[in-house]
Amino acid sequence: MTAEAFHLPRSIAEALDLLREHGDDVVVMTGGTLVMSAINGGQLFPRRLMSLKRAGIDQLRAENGRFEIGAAVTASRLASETDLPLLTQAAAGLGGPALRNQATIGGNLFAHAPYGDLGVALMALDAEVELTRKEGARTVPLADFFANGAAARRPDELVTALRVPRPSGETAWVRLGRRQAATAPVATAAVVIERDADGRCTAARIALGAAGPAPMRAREAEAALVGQPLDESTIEAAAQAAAIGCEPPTDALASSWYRQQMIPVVVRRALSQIAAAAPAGR
Amino acid sequence: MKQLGIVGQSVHRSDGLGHVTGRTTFIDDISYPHMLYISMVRSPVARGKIRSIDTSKAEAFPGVATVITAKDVPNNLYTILCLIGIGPNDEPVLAEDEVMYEGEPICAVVAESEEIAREAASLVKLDIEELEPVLDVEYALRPEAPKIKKWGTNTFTYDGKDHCQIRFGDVERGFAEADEIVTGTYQLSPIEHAPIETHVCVAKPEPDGRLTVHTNTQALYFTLDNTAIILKMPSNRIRMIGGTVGGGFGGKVDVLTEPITCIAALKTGRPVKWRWTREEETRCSSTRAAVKIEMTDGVMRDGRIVARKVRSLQDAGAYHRHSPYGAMKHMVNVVGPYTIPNVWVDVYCVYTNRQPSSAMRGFGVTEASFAVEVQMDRIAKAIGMDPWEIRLRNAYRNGDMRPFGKITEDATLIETIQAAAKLVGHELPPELAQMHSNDEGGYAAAQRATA
Amino acid sequence: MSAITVSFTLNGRATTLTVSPATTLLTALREHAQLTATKAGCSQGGCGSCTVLVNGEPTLACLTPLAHVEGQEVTTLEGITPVGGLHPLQKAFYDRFAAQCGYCTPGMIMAAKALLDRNPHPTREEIAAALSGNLCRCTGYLPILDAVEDVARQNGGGER
Repeated sequence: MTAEAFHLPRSIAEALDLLREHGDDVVVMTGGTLVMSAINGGQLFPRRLMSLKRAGIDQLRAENGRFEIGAAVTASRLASETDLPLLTQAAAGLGGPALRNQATIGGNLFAHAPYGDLGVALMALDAEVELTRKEGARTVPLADFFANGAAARRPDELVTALRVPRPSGETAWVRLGRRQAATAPVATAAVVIERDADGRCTAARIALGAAGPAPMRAREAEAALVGQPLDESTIEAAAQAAAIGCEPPTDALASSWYRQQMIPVVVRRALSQIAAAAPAGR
Repeated sequence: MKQLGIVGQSVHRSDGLGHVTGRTTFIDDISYPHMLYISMVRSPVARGKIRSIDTSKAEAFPGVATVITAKDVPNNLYTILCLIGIGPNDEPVLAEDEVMYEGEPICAVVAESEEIAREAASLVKLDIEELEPVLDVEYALRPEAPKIKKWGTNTFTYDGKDHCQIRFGDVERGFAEADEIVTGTYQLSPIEHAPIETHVCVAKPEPDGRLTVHTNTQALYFTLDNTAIILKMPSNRIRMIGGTVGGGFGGKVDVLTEPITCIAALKTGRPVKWRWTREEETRCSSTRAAVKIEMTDGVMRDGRIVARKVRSLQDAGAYHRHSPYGAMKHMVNVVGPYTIPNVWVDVYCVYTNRQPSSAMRGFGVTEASFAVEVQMDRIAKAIGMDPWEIRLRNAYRNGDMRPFGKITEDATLIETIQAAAKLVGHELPPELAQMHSNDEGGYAAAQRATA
Repeated sequence: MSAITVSFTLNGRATTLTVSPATTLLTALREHAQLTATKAGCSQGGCGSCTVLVNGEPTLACLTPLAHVEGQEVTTLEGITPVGGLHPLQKAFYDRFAAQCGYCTPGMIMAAKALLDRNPHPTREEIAAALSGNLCRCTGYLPILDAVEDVARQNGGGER
C-alpha cells in the first residue's frame, strides 16, 4: 500500500503521541528535502508521513553566549538570523536559495554523506542536540549523536533543538565542490583553533564532512596541533593526520579514493586561512 | 546589394512567448483522463543471465493495471539504424535471457499513479546470475576477455573486419622521411547530455485501433518506423506527434520510451504516460561514447605533416544505438581539416557492459577534433613553430584530395583562422594573412606534388 | 486508497485539493490543478525547474509535500502573468533570448521574481547567487543574468 496518512502535528506533544502510536510505520520529516527526494526517487515507501514543520520547534534564541536553535529552523534563517561562524557559512552554502528555505537544522543531522554540512559546522562548534520523548528531554553532545549512528536516538524520541556555544577561538570553513554552488561537497572541513599569546594552539576542533557515513571529528589532526605553533610543518602534519580513519563515500561527484586525497587538502586550506589571519588577541 | 529583411536583424524566437509564460506544451504537460503511469524495473548488474523474473507481488499490488515483460513485445529485438542497413538487430526492448548493462530495462509496471507504479516496481523479484562484465575497451579487444555479443566478438563488423579503416598513400614511407615523430594518446570519458526535461512519452489507444503518441523525441520518423517494426503494426496506424523538446543535444534520438508506452496502452486500452526519473535519464539514456585515440604523426621541420597513423577505440557500451555510425564519422574526421598525404586510420566500435553510447552533438567528430587540435599544438611545440602557422601551413585547400577519396570543394579553414586571429587581436605575418583556400601555393601543393 | 484534503491560496484563489498523502506540491499543481507551467526536472531538489513562491519565498515544489502548504499562499508562473500581457521579467527573458528550450524558464523567472521582490536592484553577483539553484543546459546563463539585470535597471536601481 502507498502512504496512508500525512500527519502535521501542531505541537511536539502531539508529534510524540503519533510517534508512540505508529512507531516504525512513521517516517519523520521537517523541511522534506531528504524524505521527499527519497520518495520521488523510489528509495522510500513510507506507510505514514509526519512533518514537524508546524510542531512549534522553529524558535531561534541567543542567551548567555549560546544559541538555542529549534530543529525546524531553516538554513535560510540560520544564514540570516544567526552570526555564528561556521554555521552561517555552512547554511549559506547549502543547495540553492529555494532549498535553503526548506532544509532544516534538525533534518540535516539525518542527511547521508556527502550531504549534511550543517552537522559538520555544529560538530566543530561543539554543539549539543536535544532529544525529546514524552517523559522529558535529554541533551547529548553532537559528537556522540553522530558516533552512535541509529542508536543515538531512541525510537520514541525526536530531535527538537540544537544548543550551540559561541566559539572562543578562530574558525575556518572550507568546502570543496565540483561547482561553486548548489552541489554536494567533495570534502568539507570546519575548524576551531584557540591559540595562546605565543601563537601555540591550546585547543583544536576539526570536523570533517563527506569523510565517512556521518560528520566526524579528526581527533589525530587535532592532537597534532595542540601545543604547536600554527606553522607550515604543523599544518602539514595535521592535514595528513586528518585522513586517518576516514571512510569517504563514493558517488557521482567523487570516488572514495578522490575524497580521501582531498581531505588533507581542505584541512590544510582551513588551517592556512587561520594562520594567515592575525592571531587572536594580538 | 539587395537590402536584406531578416539577415542581420535580431528576431524574437517564435516559441519565446510560450516559454516565458509557461504556455509552451511540453510532452509531460499532456495528460488524458483515466491515464496510467509506467515505472521500469531495471537491471541491478552490468552483466548477467536472467534466471527468473517474478512479477506476482507487483501485479497484486493495489492500483497496478499490468506488468509488461519481453513476451509482450511483438518484435523484441531491434536496432535503430536498421533503417539504414546497420545490423544485426542486437538490442531487446525488454531484456529476455541476459542483461548487458546496469539499468537495462527488464519489465514495466503500469499503474494508476507514478507513486503506485514505483512502489509496485520495487516488489518485482529478479533472479540474475551475475557474470564478469567487460568495462574497458582495451580489455574488450584482448583474447581472454569474455565475448559479450551473441555473434562472438566484442566489436562491430565492418565489411567483414573488426574495425573500419582508411588507407591513403604510404604511412611507413612518410614516417621514414619525417624529421620528427610526434605521438599522443587522447581519452575522453562518456558524457551525459543532461537535458533538464527527461524522456517522456504519452500513448493513447484510439477507438479505431490506432495509437496517438506524444513524444519528446528528436527523431520523429526514426521513432515512428522503429516503433512500427517493434509493434509489428503498419506505421499508418501510429500517429506519432513530436513537440517542443526540453533539451535534447542528441540524447533524444534513440527509441527508448515509445514502444513500451504503446504496448502498455494497447494492452490496457487506456492512455499511458512514461516519464523518466532523473536517475534514469543519467544512468540509462545513451551518452556520448568514451574514446581512446592513439595518434602518431610524421612531421617535417618546415611544418608539413607527411604521415598520420591513428588507432581509435569507441566505447559503444552494450548495444549499437548510433555508435557504429559515429565510429565512421570519427574515422573520416580524425585526419582533421588538414592535408596529409599518407594516412592510416583504424577505428574500432567496441562493445562493453556499460550504458550504451549514441548520438550527441557532433559525436565522433568532436572527440576527433579534441585529439587533432591538441596534437597540432604538440607538433608546433616539437618543431618550434607558431601554433597559428602550423595550422595554416597544413590547412586543406580546394582541390586537395581527402584521404577518404573526396576532392575538397568548400574549404574555409584558412579564412576561419584568419577571422579568428582578427577577433582575438592576433596579428598574423603578411604571408599567412594573405593565404586563401583557393591558393595553389603553399605546402599543400608541395605535398600534392610529392604524393 | 487514502487521501488528504489541503486548502490553500493558489495564485490568489482559494483552492482545495484532495490527493494521496505523499503527493508533492509539484504533482498537485500539474496534475490536480492543471497548472503545468511549473516543471519537473529532477524531483530531487537539484535543478530548480519546479521553483514556485510559497508566501513569497522561492520553494522547490518537488520537495514540498502538498500538506505543507495548508493555509499558505502559493504563486506559480501562471499567477504572475498579467491577462493579455507579460510580467517585466517575462518581457526581459523574451527580449534577451534568455529562454532556449524553455524547460528551466518558469523556475528561473520565479526565482528571479523572489529576488527582485526582496531586493529591487540587485548586483549581477546577487542575481547569480539567487539563481544558483536553477540549472539551465542551453543558454550558458549569461542571457538569463542579462534579462534579470534589465528588470533591475528598470526598477530604478541601476549600478550600486
